[in-house]
Amino acid sequence: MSDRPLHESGDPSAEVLPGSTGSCGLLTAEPVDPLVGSRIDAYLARHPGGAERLIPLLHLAQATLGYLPVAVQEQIAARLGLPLVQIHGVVSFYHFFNTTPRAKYQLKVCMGTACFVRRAQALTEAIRQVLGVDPGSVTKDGLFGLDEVRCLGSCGMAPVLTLDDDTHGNLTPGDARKLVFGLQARARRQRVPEPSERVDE
Amino acid sequence: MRDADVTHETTTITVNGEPAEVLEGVMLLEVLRGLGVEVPTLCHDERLTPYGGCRLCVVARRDAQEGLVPACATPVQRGMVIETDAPEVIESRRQQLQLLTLDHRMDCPVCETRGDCRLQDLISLYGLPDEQLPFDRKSMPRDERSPMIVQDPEKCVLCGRCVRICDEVQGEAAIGIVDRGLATRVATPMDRPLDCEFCGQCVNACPVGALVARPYLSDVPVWQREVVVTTCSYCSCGCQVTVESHEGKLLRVTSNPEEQPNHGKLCAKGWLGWDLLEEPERLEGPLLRRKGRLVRVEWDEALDAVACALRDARSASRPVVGVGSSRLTCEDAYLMQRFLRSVVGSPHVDVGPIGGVSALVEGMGEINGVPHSTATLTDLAQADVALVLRGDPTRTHPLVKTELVQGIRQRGQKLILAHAISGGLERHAQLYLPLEPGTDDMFVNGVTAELLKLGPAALQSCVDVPGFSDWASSIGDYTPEVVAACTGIPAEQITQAARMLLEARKTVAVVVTGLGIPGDEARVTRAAVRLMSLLGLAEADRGVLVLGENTNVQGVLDVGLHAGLFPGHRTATDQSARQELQQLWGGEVPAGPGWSAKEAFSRCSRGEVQLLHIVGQDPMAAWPLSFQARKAIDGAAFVVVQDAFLTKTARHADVVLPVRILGDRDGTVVGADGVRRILRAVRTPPRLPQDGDLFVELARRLGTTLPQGEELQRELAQLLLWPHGRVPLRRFDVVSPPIRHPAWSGMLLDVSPQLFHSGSITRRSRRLQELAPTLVVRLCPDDARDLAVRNGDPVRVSAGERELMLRARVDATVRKGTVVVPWQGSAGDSNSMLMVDVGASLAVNVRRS
Repeated sequence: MSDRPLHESGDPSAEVLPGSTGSCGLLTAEPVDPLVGSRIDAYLARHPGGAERLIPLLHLAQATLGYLPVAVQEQIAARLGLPLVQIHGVVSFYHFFNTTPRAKYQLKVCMGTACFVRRAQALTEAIRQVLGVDPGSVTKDGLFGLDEVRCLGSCGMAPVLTLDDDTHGNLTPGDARKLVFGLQARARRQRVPEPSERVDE
Repeated sequence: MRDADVTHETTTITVNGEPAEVLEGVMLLEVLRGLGVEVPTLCHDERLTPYGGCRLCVVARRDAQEGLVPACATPVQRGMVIETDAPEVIESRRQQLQLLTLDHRMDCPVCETRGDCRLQDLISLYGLPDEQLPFDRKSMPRDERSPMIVQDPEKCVLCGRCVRICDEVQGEAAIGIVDRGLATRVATPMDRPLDCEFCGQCVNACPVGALVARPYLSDVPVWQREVVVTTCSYCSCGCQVTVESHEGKLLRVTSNPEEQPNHGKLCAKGWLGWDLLEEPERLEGPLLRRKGRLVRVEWDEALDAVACALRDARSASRPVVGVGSSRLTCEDAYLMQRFLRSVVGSPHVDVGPIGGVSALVEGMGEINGVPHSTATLTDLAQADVALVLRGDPTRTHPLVKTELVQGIRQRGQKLILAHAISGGLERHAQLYLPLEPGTDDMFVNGVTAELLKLGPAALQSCVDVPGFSDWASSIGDYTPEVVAACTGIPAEQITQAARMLLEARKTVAVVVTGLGIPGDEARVTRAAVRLMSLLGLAEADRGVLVLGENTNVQGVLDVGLHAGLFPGHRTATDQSARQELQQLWGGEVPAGPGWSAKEAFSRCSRGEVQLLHIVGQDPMAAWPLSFQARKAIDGAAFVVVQDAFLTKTARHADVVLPVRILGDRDGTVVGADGVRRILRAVRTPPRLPQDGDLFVELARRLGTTLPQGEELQRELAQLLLWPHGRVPLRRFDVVSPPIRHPAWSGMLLDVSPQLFHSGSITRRSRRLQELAPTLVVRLCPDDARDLAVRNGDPVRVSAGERELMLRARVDATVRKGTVVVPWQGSAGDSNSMLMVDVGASLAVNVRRS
């Protein structure tokens, strides 16, 4: 029990006492993934400086984990000596940064001007119907994420969507559906049954 | 604005056709307002760096660089031609207001601001364009989770004043601007419930109704409220507060940015701690002990009983002792000491063990000859290096903390923070030195010794001061290595502190005081005065600012509410002073010094005292164990207590006389900076007498009169001069050799004042108690982990046979190795249980229960 995190908000079983700590949100939350921690340390050691290191560190952490958990943001704040709310401000300002785990397959439908006039919203609608998720969220199984984004710089191929780092252009709603079906099939083939499920079989 | 940008060269510009001579580099807005030109603003705040967010301060430039410019962020340049009321300026402001109103929920008739709204003022002044613009407002929920501050993002105009003042002035950044586009809003980190210092700066800075104080919600429009500007009665900063009331009910507390010394800044106590005026537990009439029980009686009966007891003491020639408080106004304190000295004829009048008294009397008084600080808050704001000793002003003197944060953030001031008790300022300090408890004076001596080695040129001004050579040889023992071993601070950091001070052009040492802070405050003060005088700076550029614990520590000493001091800083042994007083007061004045509170209490315990008159103090609950308050109160033949509440001490008194407190009083108080400020009753008519009135009344019953009103002010003016002047160092004393304290076994008990809760008065404020629960012991996450204690677990805090059982609260702001026990926690007496002596630090054992 003694190595459980001890702090104000991270321990739901703890009795909540009224009043303030006057600590202005500078509490350290749950432990940070050691890999991110060591990468942050290495980056800071290589790049002496100040607050200008915030965005590179956020990139680094997101590249490592796929998203930015609160604990990582808190650690970055503490390491840079910045108020946590400033990290929160930067992370929430840039669409690139995510604070929730990302899906295995991230679909981003371009809503830039060229794609918009070539009916990109029909692509979103098609994917939404197949996967049952709204833009900005992730399917329950964590496989698919759908986002609407600003211009992806491939206006000549409009309408465009990206699947992770690959760009798919000149799509019809049918093409989009096929793409998603293909991914679902691939995911089923790759899926290794969980140990508990094997017992059931 | 950074001072560095101002060249101090004047130049001529043209404003609305008139030439004007102005300082180059100053922002146009400041210049225009200085010239009496009205310029509207929403986002501007003179306490903050220019922002240029609301674009309402636009003015037209008619010189070579023609166009509309924001006055708040445009520095004055040679040959500028400015028009402030050109048609395009007015039109631009109207359009800007229209854009602001698009994303502002116009709830004006039912808005919580009750008419206190800059946006509303500006719209009624400029009007809005006729055509409606299409707009889809994003709906955002109100945040009502905080007990004190309600946030309504739909009314927010994103001027950023709250966020900037929280960061730049308060140094907390508890809120920030998050998200983007239409979703942009002011939020707490990760949208957690607001957990901050509750200074109210954000609410007071909000130009609209996006941030409002829950305790100050009211239906009374602002123009119907009575407004009183008075002095805050908590710490010794002397902040000016604006109190609004209606029909005797207190409605709201704010502060005006134009008032000195606080420039509109407040702290949790000064902003919220006013509810105790309306606390139902306040005494409404006098109490008299009859057949062993305190019963409510008429004023005449109670006062007659006291007068009778005083006459008995006189006829039996047995001593009468008065113990006053540093919360008394100058007038009340003066009347109290005059009553005891000239009416009763007793020299035994003292102020008790209040933080700052010893630093001023035995510290400043011994070394400089007069018991007052040699620096002001203004000096501190101008200093380029500040040395803060003994404690963190964040907890004890929040205004000083904001001055330091502003100095660091806006003017590049450097802060050396050396103390054993953390409070949050350390993250802003250039050099943070967490000392071993009680070693502050050794640290200052160590820095002084280094200074002597590094900068012998500074000696010039000091070699002729009496005692210098003896002192200089005694300070030689304080080598960095020895001091490092005693204080726990590495030798190189001691040298670094000395270097930083040597490079300073203007510096102030701040001595923080408060009952429960470990270490001898007088010794630290003397060491700090010597350190400052060796810097080789002009007297005005170096000083020591003693921050007294209560409102009027300085003032009560000025008027002689001290066993060793007559009014006007004359020692009570001074025969000529005594004769002057006899002439002025017309009668015998006993020669001093009288008994200090400690001496008096020990004599009470031995049954030597006939009458003990306690004013505004609760020794049984709040004083250290060494005073043996319970024994003293029981030992005195007759005990009179003047207090607003039935305190623990009052319960054992023979007569309890209720009085007005804090903002219910009239009079003057002297801040730590030596400036005398006015205290005005916020609610009239008064329902109870003030402390001084009771002494006048008692004197009348004993057949004499005490001065009141004009006559009293004339008498004070004859004896005293405010503000205080500067004084040179009078003498050097040999310092005792450094002592290495044995290592701690256990944890350091921190019973010193807290931000939300600093003693027996704050305990009565329900709002402050909501912010700072007293029934907890706080410890840092690391210690909690080591002790296997989780939030909410019951823990035992013990020192020898004394023991407290409280719930644990894990708090990352607590220093490792320290446990914080609030004043008067469980059963209202943790202090008197665990605080051994003034300045003593106590090691305690903490374990899970």
